[in-house]
Amino acid sequence: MSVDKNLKILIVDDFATMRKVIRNLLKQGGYENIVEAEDGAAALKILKSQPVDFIISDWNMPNMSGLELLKAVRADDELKALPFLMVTAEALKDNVVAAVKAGVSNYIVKPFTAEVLNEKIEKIVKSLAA
Amino acid sequence: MDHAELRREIDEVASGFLFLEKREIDIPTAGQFLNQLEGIMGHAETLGVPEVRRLAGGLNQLLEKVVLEAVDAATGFGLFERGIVLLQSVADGYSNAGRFDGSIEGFMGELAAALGIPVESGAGETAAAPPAEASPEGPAAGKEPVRDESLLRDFITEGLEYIGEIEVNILNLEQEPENKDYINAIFRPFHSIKGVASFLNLEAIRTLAHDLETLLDKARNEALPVTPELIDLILDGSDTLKAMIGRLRDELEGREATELIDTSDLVRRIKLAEQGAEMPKQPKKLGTILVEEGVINEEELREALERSQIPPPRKLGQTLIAEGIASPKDVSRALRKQAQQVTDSNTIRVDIKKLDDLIDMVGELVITQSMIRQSETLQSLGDRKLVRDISQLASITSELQRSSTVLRMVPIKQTFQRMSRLVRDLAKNTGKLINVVTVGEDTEIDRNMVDEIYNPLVHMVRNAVDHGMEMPEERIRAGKPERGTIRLKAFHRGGNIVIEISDDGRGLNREKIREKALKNGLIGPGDALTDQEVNRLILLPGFSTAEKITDISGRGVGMDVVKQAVEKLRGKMDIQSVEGKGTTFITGFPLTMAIIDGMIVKVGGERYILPTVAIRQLIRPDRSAYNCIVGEAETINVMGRLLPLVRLHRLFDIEPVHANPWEATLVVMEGEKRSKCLLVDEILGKEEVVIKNLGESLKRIKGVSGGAILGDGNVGLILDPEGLFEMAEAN
Repeated sequence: MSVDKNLKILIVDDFATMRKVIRNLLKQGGYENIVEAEDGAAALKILKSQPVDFIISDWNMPNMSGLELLKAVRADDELKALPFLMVTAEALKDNVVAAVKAGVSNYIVKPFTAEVLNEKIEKIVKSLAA
Repeated sequence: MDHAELRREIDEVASGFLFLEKREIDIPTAGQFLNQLEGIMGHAETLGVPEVRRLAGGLNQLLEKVVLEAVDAATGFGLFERGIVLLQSVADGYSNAGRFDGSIEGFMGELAAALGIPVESGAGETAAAPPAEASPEGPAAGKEPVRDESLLRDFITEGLEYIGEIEVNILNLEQEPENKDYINAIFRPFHSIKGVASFLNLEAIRTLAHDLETLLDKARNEALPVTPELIDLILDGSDTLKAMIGRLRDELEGREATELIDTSDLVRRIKLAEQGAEMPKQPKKLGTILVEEGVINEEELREALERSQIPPPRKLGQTLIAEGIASPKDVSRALRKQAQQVTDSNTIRVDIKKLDDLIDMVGELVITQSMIRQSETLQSLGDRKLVRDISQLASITSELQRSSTVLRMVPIKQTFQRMSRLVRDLAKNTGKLINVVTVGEDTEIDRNMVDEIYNPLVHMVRNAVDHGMEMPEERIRAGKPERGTIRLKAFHRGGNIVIEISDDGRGLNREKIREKALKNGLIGPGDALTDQEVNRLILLPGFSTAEKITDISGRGVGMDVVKQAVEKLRGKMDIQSVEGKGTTFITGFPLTMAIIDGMIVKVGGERYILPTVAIRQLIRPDRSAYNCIVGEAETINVMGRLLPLVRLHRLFDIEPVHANPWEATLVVMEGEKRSKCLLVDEILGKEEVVIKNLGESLKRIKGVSGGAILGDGNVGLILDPEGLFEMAEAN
């Protein structure tokens, strides 16, 4: 079973260049249906206003961090089942464990390749389908 | 909570484990288990079941390692399975018999071996796992380097913006070292830069950003105090990053790449600082000192550095001397200076209030010594030694005054940074693309002036962005680079600081300005104005107001207000503009508001101080130069121009010695767009006076801007030419 490439993916990062990097990597994997938000608060607004299938979020952002966004998503009845992939700079134990405890679907360490990103997305989506 | 409940909690984990689809613990499940195990640990602690607590703790650590991929998934799975079974039997033992007869030590030992760390022993708190970084840092092995030009460009632009943000926040942090928000605000951009740099394979940038981030993280966690040295180090770091990104830009734009930036020394300092070691201030490089001293230029330095690398390698100084580029004397002087820096780097922070008090007192001292010097009693003594000593005292006090004024000088850097920040924000809002270039950031100005000049400067910057700079499409149509540039430049000239704000925008439309000025009656139809004079029209009151209503594309919005603000600070303002090429606002401010260069004049028994900057000439006119038409103002013909006569004695109601202009002295003074002749009895001399505020109640007296204590101890009022003109015009 392959993953639906029409998956609507929300990229959350305060650094526009970083969003573009992720967007490019996603395109290499065939994902074209992408929306962007510059921090957790903006992401929540988007999530409330349009259907999104998958969240890829940075950890460190102003206003609302990735972890806060994750917690808000998991606490929202409508959003709580959404796949959430956290991007971290290094696999710092504290960060990752905190995200895992808050219910993150998976995490990915910068820098990553299109293949790794693809793999993570497929893994998450498949485990949800199972 | 009792043993049965604890058992139930353990069973929950066990059943969750049992129902796993594959022999693999995925991340969401691991998260769930981690939370459950944490609950179990807590409850086991309260119930006094040490084995359960230790087991659950051990499994918790195991899961963390699995999540971080620090333990092989299959090994982890097997261990976890056995751990759960053991947990169940321990809990069984406790709920049935109140104790567990078996031993968990064997399993705990295995677990410890697998984790590669000592799992907590029977007693004591949870042993904190060392902060293991699971995956090696650096670009993933075998990763294709991303060399996407558009991404690089974005990174350069955004990265530089972020560094600007960092700079502003560093300065904020300097004011409030305790404020965690500022540390965070600096940490985050470094972090973001590092993240993107890692994707773009910019290894050097990534490493430096990472090191700085680590340092800040320590400061954030209070493992390191926020000292001025730390702040300097972070500033140096962001400067270096900025240079590295700038170099990247040059490279991308095909400009000749500058010398590779050597970060090794900086990295070493960061590492030292991280260990909490004393931070030695980085001494300037020999080459830098020589360039600064003007002994060699940068070109020569670069070439000499290259040649120094050719084996057998020589030191830069040797190369320079051997090739006759610098004299041994120059080099040794520079070396001495370099050595001095290390010891000279000690600075202390002083409350500005103390500094202000000191400078005030020095001002008083200057006045007092001048009173002593002018004392007739002392002069009549005719003692030559006394005269010599007094003149020695005078030179010491004036030197003291100079050096104490310098104490309050700060670089204009912070102001520029705030302005750059403003440009970025404005550009973002208007959709324009603008780079900010700053020159002469280190130029110093009295700290008390900094806040005063900020508002007028901001207005000019706003004006440059709003009206000077074109939209990207328009720029492209005009054959200019899409991205505009605003240059902020500061330098010293005479006793003034000159600040230039230039844009490469559309420039002033002189035709349009002339039209508008004609319409508003600011100029007559026949007036022949030079380009410069046309430019200055936008500084006139009455120009902008009409402009505001009709359209915003002109440039005059509120410029008269700016000019007034500048002049209130005893500054001068000018505009240069080339249509289609851009506009430059040039402002000059005195370095300090504390002292004024004044001309002392006498009217009747009173003495006044006129600011020298406003004086154009002093004359004693011929009788024939004086005109008085009945019902009209009195005028004086000054070299062919008829200037209105202002009788100071009349304005201030004093009985003058001379009422006739040809007997008195006339001071030709410049105000806004007009000059007038001020009639005074005589000129007493020129003096630098310390300005004293007249206090709140006397603040708004027209024609008077302040007071000063004169050499003989009497108070003299400092006159404001513009105010005097207005008084004269009102009469």
